[in-house]
Amino acid sequence: MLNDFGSHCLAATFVGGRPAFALADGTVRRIGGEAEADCVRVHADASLAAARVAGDDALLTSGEDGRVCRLGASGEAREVGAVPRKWVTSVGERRGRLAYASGKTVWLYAGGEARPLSHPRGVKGIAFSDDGARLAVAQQDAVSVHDVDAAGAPLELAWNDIHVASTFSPDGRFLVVASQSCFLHGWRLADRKHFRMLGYPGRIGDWSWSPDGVLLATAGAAAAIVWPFDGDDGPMTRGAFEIASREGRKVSAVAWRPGPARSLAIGWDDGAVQLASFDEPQTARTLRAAGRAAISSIAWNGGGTLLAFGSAAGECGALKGDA
Amino acid sequence: MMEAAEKLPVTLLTGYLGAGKTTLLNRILTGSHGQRFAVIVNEFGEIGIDNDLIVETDEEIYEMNNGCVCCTVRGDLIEVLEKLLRQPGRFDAIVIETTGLADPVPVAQTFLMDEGARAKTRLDAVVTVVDAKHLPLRMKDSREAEDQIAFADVVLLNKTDLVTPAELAEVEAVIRAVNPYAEIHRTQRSEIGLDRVLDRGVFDLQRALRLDPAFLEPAAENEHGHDHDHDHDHEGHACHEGCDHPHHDHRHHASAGDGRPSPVHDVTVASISLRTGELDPGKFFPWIHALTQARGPSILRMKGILAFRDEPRRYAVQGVHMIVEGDHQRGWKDDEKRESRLVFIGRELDRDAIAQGLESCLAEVAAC
Repeated sequence: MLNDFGSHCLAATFVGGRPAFALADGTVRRIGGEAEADCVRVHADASLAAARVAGDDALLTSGEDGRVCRLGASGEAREVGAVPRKWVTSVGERRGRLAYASGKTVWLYAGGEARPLSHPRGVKGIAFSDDGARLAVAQQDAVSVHDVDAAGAPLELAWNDIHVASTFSPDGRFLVVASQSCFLHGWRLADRKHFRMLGYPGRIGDWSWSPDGVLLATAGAAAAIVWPFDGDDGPMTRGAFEIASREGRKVSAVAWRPGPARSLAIGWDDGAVQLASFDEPQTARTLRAAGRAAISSIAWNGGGTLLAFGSAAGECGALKGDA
Repeated sequence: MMEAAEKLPVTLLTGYLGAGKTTLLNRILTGSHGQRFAVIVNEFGEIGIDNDLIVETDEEIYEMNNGCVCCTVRGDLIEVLEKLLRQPGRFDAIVIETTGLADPVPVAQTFLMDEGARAKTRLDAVVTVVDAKHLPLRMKDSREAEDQIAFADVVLLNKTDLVTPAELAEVEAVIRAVNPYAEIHRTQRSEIGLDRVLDRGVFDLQRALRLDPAFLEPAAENEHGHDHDHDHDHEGHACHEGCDHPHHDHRHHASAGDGRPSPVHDVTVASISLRTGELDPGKFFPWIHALTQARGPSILRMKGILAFRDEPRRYAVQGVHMIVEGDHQRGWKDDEKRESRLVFIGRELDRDAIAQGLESCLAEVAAC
């Protein structure tokens, strides 16, 4: 199943059991099933951010029109927030808590009224912890970690860089942050001990936590770079593993397959998609040959049978994991 | 790698509050029929055009974590550009309007240093709007006003109706003292042909060279259409750290052609124009690298066209602070003198030392 939607794919995912793609042109497309590919216009001119709602069958988008929309299994998009006349540049939802950001402000909905959270610098990325109790806000020179259920000053993790995205380890012990530079920065939250994860030639772009929660696979290099987060020290005392290297190319998207097999789907900057195993890192099976543009997002369905992919040129589709 | 011509042109508008920037921006948006612009501003002002997109962003200057104090970029701009560039063909050009006090350098360096911005956009020109009446005052109380002129490719000397011809000539002389290489246009209410400010192709090295404008000629010489070869050995001046004499002297005005000293005693930026023979690249590159590393903070802009020994093509360089980029260009023409020209605009530049350094890069003369 290949569709050419002609616009940068911000997020590939599954909604209502069907592969769904949030595109930069302000639409969400769904393919598969009985129907033709359908198209829902969620934002007037452009979508700026899109996020899967983990644990729920929905997709969140935000746009240049200042709106935040949630597309559910029915295929209907509902407006769940708005910042009139402003760009809303990041969105996230976890366990019923919703947050989105525009400029220096994050609006947080956790059981009731919106709570505006101000920051000294423009907000570039937001992320909830898996339990939904904490919200990390990436900015230039700092990451603020808010307690979602209590008002009060956030924990400020200072580091001189332009931070653009963050992710909590599934057990909530570590926070990893990507920046406009070519390395990742991490903190062990209990004692704020911090570490850097180096060796990338450019920006990192995408990451994925393994289903058992102990491996973080990352894009940005000529192989998928996988960091261990088990043990007290996580990657502080150990190096990374490489999976499926290709000389002269760059991994642009990664997604661990659900299940115990530790198998990783890898999207490449030439549009190829591969499936590789942590146990046999040098043998990768090609699921899709190169296309017109870099793979910008990939995601598995819940059963790990189908892999949705989208490219920066709008080539979108779904691949069978066991073909 | 995309050709420079396919990259989205970016015009940077600078100038003090009240100089006429927003008026110029509105002229660009209303006067360019059929062109779609994305305009990046610090604050929504009185701009609003149906077909164009106005993006508001906070100017966030970031010092690169590489030990170089002058390597600054605009982190917010990198994010906005990344989002705008996801839909190729949506816009024909980007205009960035900075706040009045803004330093143009981080914006320019963003386009030189960020991988994404480099791949898909080209900085077309830095256009600075100055207020003919208030510029002398601005130059006294702020370094930014001077930096904006020093950095400009095009200067709109605006509000000329508010000053006398004599005042206007003096103000223009001050601008020339700071930057002999910018095109200066006298305007009222920012009224100007848009071809004078858009699609100039002066900042992008490849494009500048392909179009081959008088890349390094002092603008006044171009305007007058004559080539006077005088005084190149006397432009600029050597100045020790902390000196407090007025940083201008009559020699700068060789380029402007009026020969009178500037009435403004607050000009701290000077230009140095050097001209010499064929260079040895094995000597030149280590020298320019060392010079820009050591003196980068003092160098606002640097441009040059160089003749390398045994190289049939011209070599062009340009730089901002410590960032230097260069490439081969077209071949030397038969009737063209194979010489090297290098221009620096900056503060407290030691002309004699730089000139000596360049001379030390000359290729050995082959024995005949």
